[in-house]
Amino acid sequence: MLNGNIDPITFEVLSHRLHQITREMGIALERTGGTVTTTQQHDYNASLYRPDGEIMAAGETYGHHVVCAGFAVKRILESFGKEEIFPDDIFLLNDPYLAAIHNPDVYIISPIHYQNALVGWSATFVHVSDVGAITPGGDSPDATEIFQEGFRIPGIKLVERGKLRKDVFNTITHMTRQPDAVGLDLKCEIAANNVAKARLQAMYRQYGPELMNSVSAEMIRYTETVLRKRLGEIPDGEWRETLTIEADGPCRLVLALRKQEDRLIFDFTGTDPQVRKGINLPFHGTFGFCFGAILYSIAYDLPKNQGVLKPMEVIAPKGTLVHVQFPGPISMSTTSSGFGVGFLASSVLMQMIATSEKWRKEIVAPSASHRNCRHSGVNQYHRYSAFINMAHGAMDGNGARIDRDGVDSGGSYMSCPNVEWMELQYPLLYLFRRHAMDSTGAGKFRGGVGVESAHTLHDAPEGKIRGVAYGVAGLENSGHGMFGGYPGAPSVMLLMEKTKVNELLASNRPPTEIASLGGQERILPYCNFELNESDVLYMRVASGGGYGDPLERDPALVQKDVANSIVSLDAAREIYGVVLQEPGLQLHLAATRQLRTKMKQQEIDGGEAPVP
Amino acid sequence: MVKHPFRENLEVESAADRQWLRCTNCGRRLCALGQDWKAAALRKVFSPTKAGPLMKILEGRYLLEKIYCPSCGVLFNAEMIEEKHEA
Repeated sequence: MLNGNIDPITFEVLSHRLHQITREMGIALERTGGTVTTTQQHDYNASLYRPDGEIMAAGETYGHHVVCAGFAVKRILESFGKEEIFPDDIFLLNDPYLAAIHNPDVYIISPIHYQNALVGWSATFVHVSDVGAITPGGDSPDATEIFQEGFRIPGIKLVERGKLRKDVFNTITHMTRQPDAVGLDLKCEIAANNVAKARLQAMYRQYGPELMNSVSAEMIRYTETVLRKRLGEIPDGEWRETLTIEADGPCRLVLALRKQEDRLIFDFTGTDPQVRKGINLPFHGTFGFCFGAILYSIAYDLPKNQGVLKPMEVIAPKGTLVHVQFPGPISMSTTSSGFGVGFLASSVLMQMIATSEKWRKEIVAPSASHRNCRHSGVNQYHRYSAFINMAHGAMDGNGARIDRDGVDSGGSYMSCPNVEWMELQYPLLYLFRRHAMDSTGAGKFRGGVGVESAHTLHDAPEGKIRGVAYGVAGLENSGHGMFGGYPGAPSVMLLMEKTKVNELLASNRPPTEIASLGGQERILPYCNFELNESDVLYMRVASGGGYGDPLERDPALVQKDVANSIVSLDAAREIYGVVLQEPGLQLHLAATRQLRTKMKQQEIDGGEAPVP
Repeated sequence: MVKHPFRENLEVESAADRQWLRCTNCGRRLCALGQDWKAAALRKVFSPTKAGPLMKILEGRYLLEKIYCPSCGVLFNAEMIEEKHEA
């Protein structure tokens, strides 16, 4: 299938070497980043592009940002023109109405020249700690239009012919609440782009422009060819999915996937109009999340590049949640409608590959993501942080597969620092962070179990910190089941005010049970809030959806889950029909068979009264 | 003649120039491909807590819908549906 003009071994070596450059860019970001978000949570992307902005080699993290950074390269080409783009220039762009997804994800883009010819681009993003928005950190629940969501730069030279433009750098960082941290993050992006430039130029010196240009073009052609062949093997059809997000009322996302021969058409017609809350997604973001879903489902083993985009088309009506029109707010879009689109696209693709004997083994029950929280405030060392990302989504349970359970707290995209590290950096005390019993979606194969946690203030000089509640709000978040599997428990964020936590701690009683804390509880919608002394924030992230009928699950696996406190004894009986007896949780197989037969019959006969 | 799977426990059968959906477990023919197969199956709804105690938060707004083969009772699908759609 490879172009006959390129030696296959050379192709493999150079293809992997190009991808390795993106990995090395990521390592540079992690080692030189200015914030926890970059260095520990890995909220970044690093990729290489061809001279026209087509994706040459995608980095290992966010698929959607790979696409959007490609749009950013194209915007820079359009606005500056090749005659104004010089060797060793570096550009900055964060305008969500041009290429970024929300303002805090700042793209740094570097043209790469060899012998004065433009041979490619590198691009990174990191989520900088602040952009001067109405809310510290950028995610702004109260913003009703983009003008309240921080600085928005359509493309500017940050480095000109190798020299940092201090006036531009200072202007940008001084618009934020944390100029030093933002400045460090911008410089770590410059460093990563410099790594890319040095490595790519070295390859051009070693192999010459002709071979390098041929290989990068062939990588794209190869990926497109193989992907189209795979699509051709799957029956044509149409599959649908919906998701409701709660943002001052229900906001409905709708997707139909049409597969026609070797093409995929993602059609979001029917999705609700955009709202005056920052959950609206720009079109390129919608496009990017669809790209990510393909990449992770049927293209995971191919060179990750523009070839994945070639067979796909996205229809997203203007003025909707998936194609926001100016000046609609977008600051919370990535983790709300963005992850929502990712869920829809994954779900329809899973339904599609279920129709293929060859591909159905790749099914993973999809997840509609979770709630999350960011804090800002003064820490125990009297330093201000605008952006303390709790990052618990990195501990979501993953969806079940056709032949195995989902990964427990397997997470998605990012990483989450350990409890001790968070407490060392920030004025927080974790009461617990653990797997949430009975949260996983039941099934013949169950979803991975997600995490629940609770934290309170500790040694906070101001006696409070601010919080932002974001993510996918509503009751349809978490993992969704497939083909008889149940969904994971909804992800929730619960603010418990004026609790007894300090009294319990003072009396050496561990406050590890929510019911023991007292106080006034409220589930947080998209909002700003304060965490004061004696308040507790409880969070439960997503758990994976199950696959297949729970009554067909191997009873020995249920027994193991009960022993590991993933499933309660009651749930073992009532959901899985498994009879375990004390002492020692002995499995009673005959009683289990009898109970399962009875439960199934009751369901079929309507023995369990339907809810009126 | 079986052409390809459709989803767990359902497959597409080609017969007499038409394509049908049938139960993989018992062979019961449900409907023509493209028609609403759920309408041709056995459907039951339950309290959301049937899927676990942490689903209590869904009570009053969602129901657990389960779809079975009308002949052999094998489970085709389970999902939470909004209660208003049930009315």
